[in-house]
Amino acid sequence: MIELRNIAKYYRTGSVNTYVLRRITLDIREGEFISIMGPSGAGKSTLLNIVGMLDDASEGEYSFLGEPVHQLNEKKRASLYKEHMGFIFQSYHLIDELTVYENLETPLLYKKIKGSQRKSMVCDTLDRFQIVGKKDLFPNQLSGGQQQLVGVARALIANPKLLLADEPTGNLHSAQGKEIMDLFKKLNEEGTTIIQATHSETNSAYSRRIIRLHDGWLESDE
Amino acid sequence: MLKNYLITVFRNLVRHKGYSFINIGGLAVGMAACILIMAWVVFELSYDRFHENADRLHRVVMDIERPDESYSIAVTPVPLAPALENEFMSIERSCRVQLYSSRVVRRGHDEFPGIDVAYADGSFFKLFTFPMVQGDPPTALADPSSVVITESMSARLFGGDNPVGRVLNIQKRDFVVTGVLKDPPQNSHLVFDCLLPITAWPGWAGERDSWAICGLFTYVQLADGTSGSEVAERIADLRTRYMSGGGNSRLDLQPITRIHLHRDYSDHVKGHGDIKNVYLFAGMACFILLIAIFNYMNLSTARAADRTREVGIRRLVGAQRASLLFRFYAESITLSFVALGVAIVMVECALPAVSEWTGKPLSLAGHGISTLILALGAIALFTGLASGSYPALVLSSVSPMRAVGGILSRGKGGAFFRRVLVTCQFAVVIVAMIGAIVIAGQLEYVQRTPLGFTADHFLYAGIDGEARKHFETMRAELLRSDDISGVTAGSMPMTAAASTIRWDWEGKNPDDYVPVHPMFVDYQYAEVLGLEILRGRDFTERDGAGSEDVMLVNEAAVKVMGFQDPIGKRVTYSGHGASGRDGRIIGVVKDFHYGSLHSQISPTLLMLNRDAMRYLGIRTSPDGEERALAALKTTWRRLGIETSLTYVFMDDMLASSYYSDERLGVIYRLFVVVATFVLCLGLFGMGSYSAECRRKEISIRKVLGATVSGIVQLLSREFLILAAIANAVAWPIAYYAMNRWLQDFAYRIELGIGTFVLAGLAAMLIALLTVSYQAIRAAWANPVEALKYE
Repeated sequence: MIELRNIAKYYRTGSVNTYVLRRITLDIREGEFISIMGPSGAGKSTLLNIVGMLDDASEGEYSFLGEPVHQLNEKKRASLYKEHMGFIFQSYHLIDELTVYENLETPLLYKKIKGSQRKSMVCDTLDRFQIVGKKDLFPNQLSGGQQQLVGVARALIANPKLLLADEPTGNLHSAQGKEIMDLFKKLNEEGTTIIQATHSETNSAYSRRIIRLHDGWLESDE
Repeated sequence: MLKNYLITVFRNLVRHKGYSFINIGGLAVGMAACILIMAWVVFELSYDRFHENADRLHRVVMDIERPDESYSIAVTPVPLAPALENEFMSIERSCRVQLYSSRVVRRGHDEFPGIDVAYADGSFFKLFTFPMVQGDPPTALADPSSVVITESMSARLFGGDNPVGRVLNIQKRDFVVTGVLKDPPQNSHLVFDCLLPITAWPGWAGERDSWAICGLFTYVQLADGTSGSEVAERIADLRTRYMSGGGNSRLDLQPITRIHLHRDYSDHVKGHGDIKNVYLFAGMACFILLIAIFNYMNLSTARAADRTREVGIRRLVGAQRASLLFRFYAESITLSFVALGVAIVMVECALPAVSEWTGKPLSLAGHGISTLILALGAIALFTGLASGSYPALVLSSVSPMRAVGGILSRGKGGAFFRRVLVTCQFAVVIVAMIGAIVIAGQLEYVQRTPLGFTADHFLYAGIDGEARKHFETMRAELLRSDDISGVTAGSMPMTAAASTIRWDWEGKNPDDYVPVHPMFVDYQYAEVLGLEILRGRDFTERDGAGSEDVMLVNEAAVKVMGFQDPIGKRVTYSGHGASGRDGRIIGVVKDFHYGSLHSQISPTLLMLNRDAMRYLGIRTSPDGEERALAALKTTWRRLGIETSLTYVFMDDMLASSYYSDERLGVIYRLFVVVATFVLCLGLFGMGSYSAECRRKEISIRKVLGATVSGIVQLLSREFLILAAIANAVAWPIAYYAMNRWLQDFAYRIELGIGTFVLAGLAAMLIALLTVSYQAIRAAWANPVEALKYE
């Protein structure tokens, strides 16, 4: 599903290049549940963003579902992303001005899905995540765990093949964290490929493959 | 999608009520002020454009060049019109018009004063578009004793009865009503209540063949496709070809649409406007709108940084850039249209009052709803686009990860851009304030300048009509009152500018044409009016008995004649029913103003002519105005005069002649206040925003030991620096603009540095007060709260 070849990422600071990622080569098949681990600054988020096409690699080749992402234009990439990926963030990133229902609806609007179908998809998702009762509340009326639940629901509403999660439980206390991880496990069993970046050994225990990064180098892949 | 965006926008507005109010309210006030001013400007510019052939209609005017001065007059000789029509193919038709304002009209035994009479050729209805409701335009003026009246005059004289066929006595002759026309629209420079054939004009017999006397207006309609300047070139020397003398006069054409606003030619048409005021106000309208738009852009860009997170998230869930551009433009355009809606409501509320103030029937519907809606829509669209552009273009191009990460720090985005806008706003307000001070100063100067006669404790009463017969008795009776110190009379009030006649004196080059204003007056005129006699003497009763005409001249006339001592010199004059009459100068009066202080004092002849009296002039004792008026009323009644008494105190009359200037001054100042208010709204918003953004910085500084005053300074300094830069920009602009404005006054004030300093300081003080409120609030806040929050 994902093939990374010699991916590198650096930023130009003055006259020297500061490397964040170095020569990462990685293959990910459909249905995997992967944790990317490593200390702060190891390049976890950067790798996740490159995979999620939110960021470009400075060097190397990346193909997703056989498409050479590094050669695609912005529009093509955006549509690949829209079609197949969902993203979850540490700080949830819900739109404050929109209710739970409207937040869930937003990605469908961008996918130009018709009104009636959109409505049924939102209702299904609300059901599935058991947040029907919260649908008219605003994000700041929810607890962190509930907000992240909405974040996950939003990421999954369009049935993506790949779910990317950047420290999904970083702002949650352990019980809430566990709920989210259980959910991930269930999703993975239902067929969704998941890549999460995490600090937590507890979280990584849910996954079947762990990739460790250190100072931008791929240290181990087990 | 749009709904999703609008929901976000709306909830954002509600969440930040204060900013929303400042943003939309400020824009609405600015738009409302702009629309109101533009309604007036459009009305002023619409004068005489309602004529179907407006672009082909011109008034023939005359320029007179003399070695040391030049005149431009709008009156021309009677035979000019037929000559033009005969000799030039490019002149399709012509029409002569003579206007007499405020005359008495009799219907049977009833007298109706204050009626404006116009005399015109039959072609009047072909040139001008004054539709008739009754009667036949081609023949309505064919009979020399026909009269056409307006609907409102018909209503006044005949009530609901059909006026056609009824007889009216005007200027001592009987006329039969042959038609009724619609009242001339208020944007017509030709104002009249009734229309008579030009041959009925009292001056007709004396002037019909004279090329020397310039006494009436000549209008021409050019053939289709000919240009006014070409025709003007060809007709320039027509007058000199028909007469010897007057070699220094050239004919020219003035487009009819220029007459109302351009004071190029002296005429005595009522209610002239001034193109300078139109420019001044149009500029003001643009400035206010600009300030409001800048506010809106400023606050929008400042707050846009708060929206970066939303933008980032939207991109993360799949929004494309175009969709986000659309989102920001949709937001700003929606809001500017909301502001426009609020503005239109404000305008509708304010219009009646503004119409009354300006004396013009202003309305939003008056000049074609479609153009107006288009213009307003364009304004709103422009505002929306301009203020939406920064967030749309900048924010939507930021990469989503940077956006959600909030790497763009709040308030920093577009800071330079915002500083430029604030500086511009300050500069505009300072220019407007300087303008307000200069205009007020000039108006006060005009009113303070001695006119050359005593305007206080003086009243005029109209004696045109039946009352004139009783003039002698009235005068004798009135002089018996203790409260009346002098009685005289004249052909027109001192404040009305006169028409011109031709005059010649001994030793004058006959080719040199010099216009002169005639005033026909009674005994003791100079004494009763308080004119200063520099040489010779005033008119006395003895002069009336003599067989020769006597006259007084003003200093300007003496200068033109070039005599050291003009007393005893003979002057010949033609015009106003006289042709080649001569008279002797018996005195010189000091120059006095009769028109506005816009114009130089021109040569004037005061002639003793007891047959031309139309106004009785009464000088009262300083505290006896009311009793003098009572005495006049008693006399009027005792003499059994049936015409109702019309009178006016001269100081009121002067005040009303400055009234339109003064009114414009007041409106201008009002709009300066509006501009300043809108600026303050913007500064307030910016001030509170910058204080909010710097909460953490302020808290840290306080924890480190900064004082409240130190922090207030920190927050206010930027605005003060901007205000100072704005002063540097504004002063030269204001100096240039106000100098230009003052140029048009023959008598004017000097521009002093004080005005500039005053306006600059005022602007800075206002800015400081506005901003420091927020600064002080921020400085007093508990630092712990802010730090915890961050």
